[in-house]
Amino acid sequence: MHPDMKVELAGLALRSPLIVASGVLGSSTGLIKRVSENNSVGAVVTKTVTYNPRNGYENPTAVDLGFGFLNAMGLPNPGYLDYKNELAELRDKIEIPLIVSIGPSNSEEAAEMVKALNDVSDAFELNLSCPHTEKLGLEVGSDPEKVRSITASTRKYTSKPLFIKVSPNVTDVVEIARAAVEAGVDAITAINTLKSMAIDVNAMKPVLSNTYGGLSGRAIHPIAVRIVYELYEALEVPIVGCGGVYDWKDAIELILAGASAIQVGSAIAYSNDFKIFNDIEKGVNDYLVNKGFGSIKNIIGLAHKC
Amino acid sequence: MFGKLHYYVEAEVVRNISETSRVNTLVLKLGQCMDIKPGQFLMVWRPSDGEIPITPSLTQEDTVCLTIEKVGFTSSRLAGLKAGEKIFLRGPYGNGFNLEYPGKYLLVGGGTGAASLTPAYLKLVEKGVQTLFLVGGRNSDNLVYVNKLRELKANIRIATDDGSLGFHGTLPEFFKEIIAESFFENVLTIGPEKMMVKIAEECHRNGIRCQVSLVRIVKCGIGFCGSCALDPVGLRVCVDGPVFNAEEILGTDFGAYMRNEAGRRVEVTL
Repeated sequence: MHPDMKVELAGLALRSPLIVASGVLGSSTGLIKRVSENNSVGAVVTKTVTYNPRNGYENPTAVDLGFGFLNAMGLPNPGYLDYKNELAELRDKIEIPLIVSIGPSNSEEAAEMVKALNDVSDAFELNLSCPHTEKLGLEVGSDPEKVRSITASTRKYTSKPLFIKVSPNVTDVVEIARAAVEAGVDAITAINTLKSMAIDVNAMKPVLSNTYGGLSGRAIHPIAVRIVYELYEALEVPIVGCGGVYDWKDAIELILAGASAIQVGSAIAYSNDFKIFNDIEKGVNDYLVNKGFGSIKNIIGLAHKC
Repeated sequence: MFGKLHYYVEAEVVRNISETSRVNTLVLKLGQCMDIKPGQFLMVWRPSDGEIPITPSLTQEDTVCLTIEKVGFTSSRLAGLKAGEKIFLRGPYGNGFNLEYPGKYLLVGGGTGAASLTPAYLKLVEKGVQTLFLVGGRNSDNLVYVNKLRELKANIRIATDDGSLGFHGTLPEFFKEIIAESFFENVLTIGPEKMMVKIAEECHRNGIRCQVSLVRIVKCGIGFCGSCALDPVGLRVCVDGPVFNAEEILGTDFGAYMRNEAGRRVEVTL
């Protein structure tokens, strides 16, 4: 028996529930193409593109803490106009959906970016949750009214599937997600990184040049599970689970909590190939066989008490 | 596999050796030993001065040498450090050179590349492999590590663009003459990218296995941020490199384009 691993996500047909998370692989269209050739990858989310080009922060921008990664890249990207041309070239060369992550600071920027990028993307993910950028990301994403206006403005200019990536750095994630759903998003990606910092005890200084950064990887997985679970209880839209997925168990946990698909980011560190996607997919497949399920869809949200 | 390299290793500057007006070598004593393969790189951090990738020029248990050209703010600050000052290292990262291929090795170092190739040279000597070391620079005052290599009894030949010492001409021009004289099965090269691509093309024409060490803007150093990617093949210098078999990357952005701080594709100038 071969369980059905195909997923339908807010109108996107995915050959696998595994998606490459935003922020990893940078702006390299070559890297996106290379990872898209892995059969276990169902879709790719691009690095977040902003209205203006950004160099990002000075190094150190990332550090391995063992239990996770701390980074403050500072959303480096060539800006939406420049990147549009590269995405246009890329889109003809890849066979899986290309989800373009955008990080607008207000509804006007959102409108301009979506209009320009609509023809070169299969879907959009709004990044209103990066914890370490001024006037972007979490600074707008923690205010339900700003989330509502940016989402509405984005929605107005695209009929493509629209995701919003939410932050765990708020008191009530459900409130933010609900505002986005009311303003027209089709699905929620949960979660972005957690605002945090590290100090080197020998240097006696913060490691990151930006002092604060976002924690990803293994350490944040239980938080992702909790938030996916909460969102599934409260909302009707599909949820994409993201946060510390390193193996099939991590993925299954998020699916049982309510995720319809899974994003993998930090776990690609140190890896020369992208075999981690094959390993996770095989593990999920074997799990479904062992438990007697014919499709991954059968276990979404199963951990919830009826 | 994950979480093996948590914290920075503290390193104290024991000596700062001036190589040329633009290049200095820091001799460092490490707080703990690092096992660094020839061609691997370290991320070198000094708080408030920044962090850059450097391929060491000598690695010996708790002693590491970094030969640094003053090209930007961070490299200029690091190159000016005095004995007793502290810096912080993470790594080693990347693959390093493959020195298992049979045959003779021709090492081609432009600028500080000669210094960064020295650990590979020492390893080859240890293995009893025959080597020849080509060192190049704009003029005799710009040559890096020549005295050190002589001290290490390396078989070296020199090229200068202005002919002030050794062969009069560029390293790729000299390289052509050398391989016409005697055959080498292997070439290792570190230096300006425009130079390396010419060496790599010449190797391709002559059936020589060539390994090149690339420099890109390295941010995370561990393969997730994508800033050092080589397009259109999508290879990351920090984990898939920094050493590549030239055959693998000829015809890509190697020698032509890189990505700047913002991830925008720009021309390689050096």
